[in-house]
Amino acid sequence: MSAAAPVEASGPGSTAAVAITGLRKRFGKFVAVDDLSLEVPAGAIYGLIGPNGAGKTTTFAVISSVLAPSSGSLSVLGHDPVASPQEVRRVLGYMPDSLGVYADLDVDEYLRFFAAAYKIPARSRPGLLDGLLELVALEGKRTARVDSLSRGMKQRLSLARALVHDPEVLILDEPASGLDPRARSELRALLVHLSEMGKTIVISSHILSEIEEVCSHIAIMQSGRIVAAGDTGEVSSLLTGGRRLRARFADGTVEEFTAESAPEQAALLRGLANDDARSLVEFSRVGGGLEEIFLSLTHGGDE
Amino acid sequence: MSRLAAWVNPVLARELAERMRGLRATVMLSAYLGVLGLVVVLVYRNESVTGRGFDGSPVTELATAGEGIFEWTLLFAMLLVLFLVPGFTAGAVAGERERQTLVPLQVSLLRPSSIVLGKIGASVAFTLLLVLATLPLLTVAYLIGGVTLGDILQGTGMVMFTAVTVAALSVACSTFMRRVQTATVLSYGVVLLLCGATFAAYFVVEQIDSDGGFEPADPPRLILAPNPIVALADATADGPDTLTEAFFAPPFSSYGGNGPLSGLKELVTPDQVWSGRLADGAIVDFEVAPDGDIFGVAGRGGGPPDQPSLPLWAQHILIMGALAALSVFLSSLRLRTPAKTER
Ligand SMILES: Nc1ncnc2c1ncn2[C@@H]1O[C@H](COP(=O)(O)OP(=O)(O)OP(=O)(O)O)[C@@H](O)[C@H]1O
Ligand SMILES: [Mg+2]
Repeated sequence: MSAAAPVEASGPGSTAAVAITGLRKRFGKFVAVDDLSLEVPAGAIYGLIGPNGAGKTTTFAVISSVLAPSSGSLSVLGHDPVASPQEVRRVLGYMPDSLGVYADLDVDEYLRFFAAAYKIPARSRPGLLDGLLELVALEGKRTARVDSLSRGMKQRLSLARALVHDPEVLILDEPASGLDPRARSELRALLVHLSEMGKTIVISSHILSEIEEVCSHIAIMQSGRIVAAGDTGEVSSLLTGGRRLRARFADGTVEEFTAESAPEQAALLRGLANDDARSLVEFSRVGGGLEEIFLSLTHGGDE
Repeated sequence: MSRLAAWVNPVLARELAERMRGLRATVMLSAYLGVLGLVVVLVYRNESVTGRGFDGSPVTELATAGEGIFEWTLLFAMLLVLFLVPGFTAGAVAGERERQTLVPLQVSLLRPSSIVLGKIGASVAFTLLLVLATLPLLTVAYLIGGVTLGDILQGTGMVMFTAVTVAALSVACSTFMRRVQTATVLSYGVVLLLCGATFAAYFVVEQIDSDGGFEPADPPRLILAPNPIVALADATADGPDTLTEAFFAPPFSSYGGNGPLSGLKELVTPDQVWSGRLADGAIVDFEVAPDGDIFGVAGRGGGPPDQPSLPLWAQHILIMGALAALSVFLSSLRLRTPAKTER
């Protein structure tokens, strides 16, 4: 999946586009992000998955030089968001979870304003805008007022804004929230396209299935901590692979089984229940941390 | 214009594009001009008739009317600026915060000071438009007479200066308050403090001072220095500059001025003790009231009058200029990211 474009190394012997070590962010006494470490390889589409309040937005805000970390060290293509925020901003596009739009501007003016805010020479702005609007499929909306756009269009406009200075790293906070299924699949296609252009993309969601298919890497976050991370295949099998089940029999013996899927689990249960040799008293899932997280992530629904 | 503004400051350009769109700006400008026009007409009808001929027909003293129109127009322009600027500036940063557009601005390559200055610039540009629209009215005063071009420049300059300082203070309120509503209330509070509280404090102190004894009350005029209306009066209205001028002033008249600003200036100018040399060579002190009345000989001898080292309007410019600069500095500091909290 990942294009693994040759982006220059961020440090000696490392190809991480974003590297976080021991990040902690406190709001007063409340610890929103706790000892978080992760590494986003250059060219990856990295999904940060977690339930509400997990700390995804906080982490993204720290990476994007909006919030200062309480402790820990960060690097975005070798630049420290705390020590040299301007350098980070040059190479990073941030799309916050809220869609801030200026009601009185039209799409064209909106993007031109941010092009100016990113010091893009006036001469190259018209061409840039054409390209961006085509990319996010808003060519027909150039003169539409920003607040007249649908939610999905606003989201794409917001993405175009984050792309205005052609950043190498994109931080997208829940770009798919509030989108209908078609808009989601369009967004996924757009992310793949951006990845093929060589960009490193970090994206958050609280629904695993929503971004699983486009992500090359996934980290599961809960209560400010990473509970699992790796490439998508690894994490998925870690989550789904082997539901651990426990059976207790009338004679007091306990036996554990693993089932790869729900049908397999059902078949196992049928077999045990019909076994005349020993009578089944209890059949339960062994509560594993990841498993519960998986449940909340897959059955969490939309918001 | 907008291209130039974009080159200077993108925030300024965007604000102008937003502000000039639709009816709002037009309505505001029309209302402003309507009020001012009304003021001019009323003043002209009142002031121009300064006496009656033998047959009862009005005798018009045009110079007086010119001055009256000038001072009334200027005063209203100042009042409108004080009234309007907080209203359309206080939303500057708090509005971005409420619309959740502040973070995208903060993570762009714009410096926080550019954001702050762009906001102030947009507000001032709008006020400049209002003041430019006032110029024709002031020109009427000039053509009627009694007002010099210098007066007009000084007066509009003072109004513009106030527009800048009040905008800077309002943007600071907007930066430190999370909500537009609180920022607006606070901005109007600041204006009220500058205009009302200083004035009240001055007279309270004067009252206390004059209870003290024989000498004319002499409250510290520094109290009044932050007051933009008083500063405007001080800069534009004429007062007696020399003892001779005081002696030869026509009875029952003020010096140069004829209008609300002159009146205000007289009100806040304490009596002064000036020295004069009599024909026999003796040096005599006179107490000169701001309206030119010379009442009494205060004593013999004495040095030159102790004039304040700086005129009030100059003190105003220094104090408010410093406050405005401080506002810009603190606001920029506040908008700097990465920050501890704030989103
Ligand atoms: N400015 C703040 N002040 C105090 N607490 C905060 C602040 N911002 C976030 N928090 C807290 O930090 C925790 C993590 O919040 P965050 O927004 O990062 O979660 P999230 O994973 O993005 O959740 P969601 O899926 O709902 O967007 C939450 O418990 C939240 O209440
Ligand atoms: Mg969030």
